[in-house]
Amino acid sequence: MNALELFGVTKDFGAVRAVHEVSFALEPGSLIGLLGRNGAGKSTTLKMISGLLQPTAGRVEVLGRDVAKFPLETRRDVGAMPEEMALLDMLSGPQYLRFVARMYGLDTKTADARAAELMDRLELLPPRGTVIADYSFGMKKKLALSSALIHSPRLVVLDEPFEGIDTVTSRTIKDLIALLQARGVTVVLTTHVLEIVEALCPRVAIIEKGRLVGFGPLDEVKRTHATLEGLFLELVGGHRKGELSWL
Amino acid sequence: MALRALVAAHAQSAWNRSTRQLTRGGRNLALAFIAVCWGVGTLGFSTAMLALGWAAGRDLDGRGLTLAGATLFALSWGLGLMFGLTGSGRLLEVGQLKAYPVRPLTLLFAELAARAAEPLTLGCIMGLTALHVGLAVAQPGLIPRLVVMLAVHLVVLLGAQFVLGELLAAIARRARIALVLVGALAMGFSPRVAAWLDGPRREHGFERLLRLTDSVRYLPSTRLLGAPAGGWDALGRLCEGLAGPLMLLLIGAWVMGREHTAHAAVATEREKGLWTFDSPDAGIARLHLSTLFRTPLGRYSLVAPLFAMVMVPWVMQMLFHQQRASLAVFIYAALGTVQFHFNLFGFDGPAVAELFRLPVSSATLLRGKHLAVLSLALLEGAVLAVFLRLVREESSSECIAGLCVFLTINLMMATLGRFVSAVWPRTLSRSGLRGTAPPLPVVLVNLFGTFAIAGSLGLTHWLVMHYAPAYVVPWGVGALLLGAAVFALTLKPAAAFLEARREHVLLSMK
Ligand SMILES: Nc1ncnc2c1ncn2[C@@H]1O[C@H](COP(=O)(O)OP(=O)(O)OP(=O)(O)O)[C@@H](O)[C@H]1O
Ligand SMILES: [Mg+2]
Repeated sequence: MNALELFGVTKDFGAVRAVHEVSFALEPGSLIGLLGRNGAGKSTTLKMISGLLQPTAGRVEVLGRDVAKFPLETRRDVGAMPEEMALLDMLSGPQYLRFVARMYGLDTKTADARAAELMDRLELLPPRGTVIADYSFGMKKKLALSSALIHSPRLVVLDEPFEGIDTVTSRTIKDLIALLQARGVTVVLTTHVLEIVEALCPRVAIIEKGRLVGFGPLDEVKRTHATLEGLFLELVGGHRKGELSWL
Repeated sequence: MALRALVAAHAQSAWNRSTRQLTRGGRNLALAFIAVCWGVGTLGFSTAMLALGWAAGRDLDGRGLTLAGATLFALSWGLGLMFGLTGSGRLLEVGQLKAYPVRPLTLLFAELAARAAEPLTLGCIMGLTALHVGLAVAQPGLIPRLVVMLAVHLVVLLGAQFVLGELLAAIARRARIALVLVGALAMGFSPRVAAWLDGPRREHGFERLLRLTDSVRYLPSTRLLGAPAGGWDALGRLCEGLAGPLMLLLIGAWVMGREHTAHAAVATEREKGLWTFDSPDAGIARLHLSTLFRTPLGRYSLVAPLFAMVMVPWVMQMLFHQQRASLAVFIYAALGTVQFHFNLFGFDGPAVAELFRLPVSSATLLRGKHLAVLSLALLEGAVLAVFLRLVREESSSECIAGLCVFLTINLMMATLGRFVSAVWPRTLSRSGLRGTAPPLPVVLVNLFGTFAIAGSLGLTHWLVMHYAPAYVVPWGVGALLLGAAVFALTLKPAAAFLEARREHVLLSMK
């Protein structure tokens, strides 16, 4: 059974086709980096995996179950960190983590213990009583990551987990992701920092204008191209633009 | 020019927001239907005002002056204050404009222009204009004066709602002051005080009416309209007429200036302890309640009905000499609480994604939200009942029946609202009172729903009181049970409805 499988997934927003017949499969314990330019369709793909958006065509299966048919069961198994990070920002961090954990069915004691451990590990140290709305960007990011992990999910989707994160925490998150993978958890993440993918992800997927244009182990990439950047630029066809006319 | 850019930006985002929702389904048709309804309503109202203006203009030396003056005053100050009391807060996103070099007065005019484009206000503006046109047709000699008056009345209509809305918001933000104020007003307007003021003058309805018409003479609108053609008296009355709108503009500019330069208040809420809950619906309810209590809009919704309970009996007593007002109070207060039923996910805004990614069913989400809003309504209703019993000395049976009506209206509105919430969701501001005006379809559903529900309850209440007053409590309980049954029976279809529209709700919340 695959941990995650996409069957010709397509998503339209009105006339805009954001994702175009994307198919791939991941076995349990995979770790994949999803790459692509701004607006390529990465976040939309992740939202369809976590069940927030419905594919216009095709289907997503998580742990062998159709997401559209078993929404509750899927949500229980998935931990998601969306890119917008619109958290329940009238709560304080600990309140929020407890709320989320309790909704996943953890008892209060376990919830608080896990929340404390996560906040300690990620060095998330908000002043007592501050509501999330007043957290810094990086603090929100850490909190969102904590809430994606607190219920020990079997599939984790992280949209840009390293953006806006300090170097120390970045290393902690990398360690966490490696640990997740070692424990058989499947992880899908997106990022614009190719070095992180090269160092962390055994496998990459490249998406361009909604289509999957590259998918495979990093080793294979290394065989044909000197760097991941070289392959990426080749696949998405980026070239330099001129100067600004008024500067 | 900054003003043009501000108004254009507001109009564009408002337009884009509403057309974003238009792309799917046959909602174009619904909107066209609503536009036609609005057009017909406005046309009818404007025609009536035109006729009224013309008729009054023909008889300006006699009763026409009273009629025109009273109508002008009601349409400008009256409606302005009413919209301010019941309506939305600021429309413009002033906080976001802080970074730009714009003057407070420019902001104020942009806000007023944005208000003028609200459908209901626009309808009133057209009626008001028609009234002036009618007067001008009947009295061509008065045209210069009528032009000034039109400007005055438009500024008053728009400015009064802005200023009163801001004032109420400021009071609501300080919940303790608001409660003290309500308490003081309640004492001041208690029937004993009113009876003492009314004391020796025991008039009949007709005498009262005469006294009322007589006082219309002193309204600024009447004085402006009936001013002599020249001389010091005319100048004095002109200044008098301009004083109101000028004052509104000054206060408005001051408010905008304060807002524009203010630093964002850091929400250093005291950690109120980590709350506990047992079931997922209780968790959703707990979350919703905590949001309601922490947002200005939520607090305002708590205070507004309290004001109503003071104001409504007072108005009833002044106008109709009616001591017993409990049903009116309950119905009015219910209207104040229903707005949240119609947008259950409004306070979550984009964070609704957080709720939707949790493993809770749509039925649980709905139950939790209802639990929160209805328990607040229950609390409010109970406070009202106690107030009416102890301070206004209404009979116990009327209070209990009124409470039943209040809860029934809330249950029916909740029943209706969970469908509306899934069709026309929109983000409610959590840091101010801005941008709370619901889209026109929701206004209409609210309006017609309210009229139907409150009307039928009021009618049967009247019948019961007329023919079998002893049965008023069983009647109330019966209505409540009926409401509860409808509420419970429609939960499942509503959950299925929401389940199918989760994505729509999520995408509408940006
Ligand atoms: N709610 C929406 N309504 C309409 N179009 C949308 C919506 N969300 C995304 N799109 C469109 O879908 C396309 C893909 O967007 P998506 O957010 O998935 O890109 P992305 O790869 O995550 O980009 P980035 O690297 O900038 O985060 C874009 O063209 C975007 O405009
Ligand atoms: Mg993205």
